[in-house]
Amino acid sequence: MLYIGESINATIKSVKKAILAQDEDFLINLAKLQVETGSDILDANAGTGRDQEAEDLVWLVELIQKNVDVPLCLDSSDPKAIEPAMKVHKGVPMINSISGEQQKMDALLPVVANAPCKVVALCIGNKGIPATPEERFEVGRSVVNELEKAGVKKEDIYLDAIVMGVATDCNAGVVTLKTLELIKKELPDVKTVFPVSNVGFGLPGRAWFNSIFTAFAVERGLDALICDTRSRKIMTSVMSSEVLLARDNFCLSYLKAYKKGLLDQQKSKK
Amino acid sequence: MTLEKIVNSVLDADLDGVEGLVKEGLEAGTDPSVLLKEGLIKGMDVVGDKFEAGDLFLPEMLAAAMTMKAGVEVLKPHLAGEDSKAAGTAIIGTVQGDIHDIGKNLVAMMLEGAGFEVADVGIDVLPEDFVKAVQEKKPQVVGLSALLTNTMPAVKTTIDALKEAGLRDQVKIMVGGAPVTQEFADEVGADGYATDAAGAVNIARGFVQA
Repeated sequence: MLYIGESINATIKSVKKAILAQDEDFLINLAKLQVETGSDILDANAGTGRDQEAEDLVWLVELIQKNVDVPLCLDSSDPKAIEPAMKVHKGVPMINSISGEQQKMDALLPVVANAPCKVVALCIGNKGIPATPEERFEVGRSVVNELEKAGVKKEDIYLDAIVMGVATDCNAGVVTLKTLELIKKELPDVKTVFPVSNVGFGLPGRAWFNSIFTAFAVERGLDALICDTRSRKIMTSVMSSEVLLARDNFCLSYLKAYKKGLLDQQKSKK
Repeated sequence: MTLEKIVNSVLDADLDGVEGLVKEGLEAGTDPSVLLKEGLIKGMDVVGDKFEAGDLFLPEMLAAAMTMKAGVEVLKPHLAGEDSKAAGTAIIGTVQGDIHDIGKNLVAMMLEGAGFEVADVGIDVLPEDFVKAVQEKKPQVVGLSALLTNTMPAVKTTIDALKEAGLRDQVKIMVGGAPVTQEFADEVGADGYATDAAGAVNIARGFVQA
């Protein structure tokens, strides 16, 4: 599993405040904590709503990469912010995100075509988020085609099957999982990703929904997870799933993570 | 008493039972507007209060709103004159660049539940399309939803477009969405802000009563 630490995101109030105040310590600490808890890549979103997202994102990228040695996931809907951030980024960045909406496609394709990068691609088309797995997959496939035409390799594309809340649509979980299955079957070289934290929105016991849904997705071959790696629940969910699916010989990765304190710390009886 | 049963059917989201109860009420000669106001709408009011208090959850509120809607469908042909008129007209949509629809749909449903005629203009709506919708529907209330910090500016663009089109004084505008605050609402010149769907209904009601 590739873990993308979600927490440096200006839609979170404390992070927005830190970016506006250029509070370096807060952001460095957040970056370090996420890397220590297993994040392979860190999301960086500087969309505070003020009219200088590009400057803010460049500042954020440089600040984070001065302090932790991981690639970043440049998170913005504005290509004008992505492009300069790509220029200052060290290593191969991940771009978050492109979708099948014509407007977004026209704006971002030239940007991702320009330099090596990984791309998060959403299964969203001109008419929004398709309701059936088949339609959602087709939208995803067309985005993949466009990206390939622009020179992005299949294995650098991370397709997001879109997670919606089950509180407002009981079928939401099943549709996402079936879309994931279709991607795995029809486009085996393309990677899959999603953010985990909205499936249980509006329900009590939200964290349970997140970790169980994650386990279902791991079973179906999810490649990358955008999540809060500081959450022991999520990490335990993913890593115990990998053990149960015989992907972790002698449970070694699981136990290593346990000893680092990244997992549920409840001891088993001897 | 049928009215109480209707209130409870909305509260329990008894989709199968509500139509029969409304018909029962009609057959017993109860005034249709009473069945609407003191049955279905009252039921939805209780649901809104309970949701705000944390006693009901999102799916329960959605199911209740659908129940209420099914009841209204049965009543519609029987409502005459003033009573057939909606509490008010509202248009609602998610602003340009933003495709989030859960909150927007919920507010739309709750407004319908409160007796509003609601035109849902959808997600990722251009300012000029909001203007067009206001010209066509002549609503008293416009609801704008934004769930991303970087689509929040589109709320202002939309309000400005309504100003430019000379429509600003004809409507009351309410805004909402996770990153939206009262402070932001004041800044962009909106008339109201609520943290949840039940709050939005209260504001909309205040708008049309004023």
